[in-house]
Amino acid sequence: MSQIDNSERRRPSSREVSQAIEKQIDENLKRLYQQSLDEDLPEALKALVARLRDEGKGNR
Amino acid sequence: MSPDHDANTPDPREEIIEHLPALRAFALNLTRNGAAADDLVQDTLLKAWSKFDLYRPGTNLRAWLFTILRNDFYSKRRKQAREVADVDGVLAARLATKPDHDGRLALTDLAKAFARLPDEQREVLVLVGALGFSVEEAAATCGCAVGTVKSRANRGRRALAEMLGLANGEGMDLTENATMAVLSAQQGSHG
Repeated sequence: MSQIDNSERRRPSSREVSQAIEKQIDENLKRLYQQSLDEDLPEALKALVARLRDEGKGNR
Repeated sequence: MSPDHDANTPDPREEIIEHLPALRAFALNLTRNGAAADDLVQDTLLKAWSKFDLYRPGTNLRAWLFTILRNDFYSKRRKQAREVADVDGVLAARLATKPDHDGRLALTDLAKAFARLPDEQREVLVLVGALGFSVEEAAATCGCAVGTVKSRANRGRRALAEMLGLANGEGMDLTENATMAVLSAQQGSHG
């Protein structure tokens, strides 16, 4: 899997996780939230967007 | 209240729409409730759209929108008794409805552990870890110092590593096996 250059790796203190684990946690959080980002907007929100757009055109 | 533009130029407020999925993800993290998250995003959209003249062009629109949503959430929470939280996290519940790949189970574990973090740690980890905010952008959104964002993110990651049994430099199950299964599944579903 991913190799990390030792010259770039800071030695983790007891109060922080290693850069490798930090990266893995962040990557997995991205995957966790990707599902939400890929979801269609709910109908109520789509309707609100449409209404605001229509009102915007009317104000021009 | 409408911005200064005519019928031949695109409405600059259209850019707000592009941020709605990320705003929903952030709202879901704050509220831990799907319906409340959608209400919060609708309120944010209404405020941002109607008050767009307060946005300074050239500044960070994403941070401006997330700040509106965050301020609205905490303002409402101060006024209301806090709703009963979904202790296992809404994301975990959603994931549980999906096929049981090894990686999916690992992400479910992550979601459950994540739901147990304090609000301020979840907040910065969603922004910086999941949504790709810079620490400066997250600090502007949360109204705190860059150092505070770094500290909260680090404490959150450390707590997650402990809950998931990830010791420093070893036990990287998420990447070695489970996450590869997720990646394979995702590639298969898109292919």
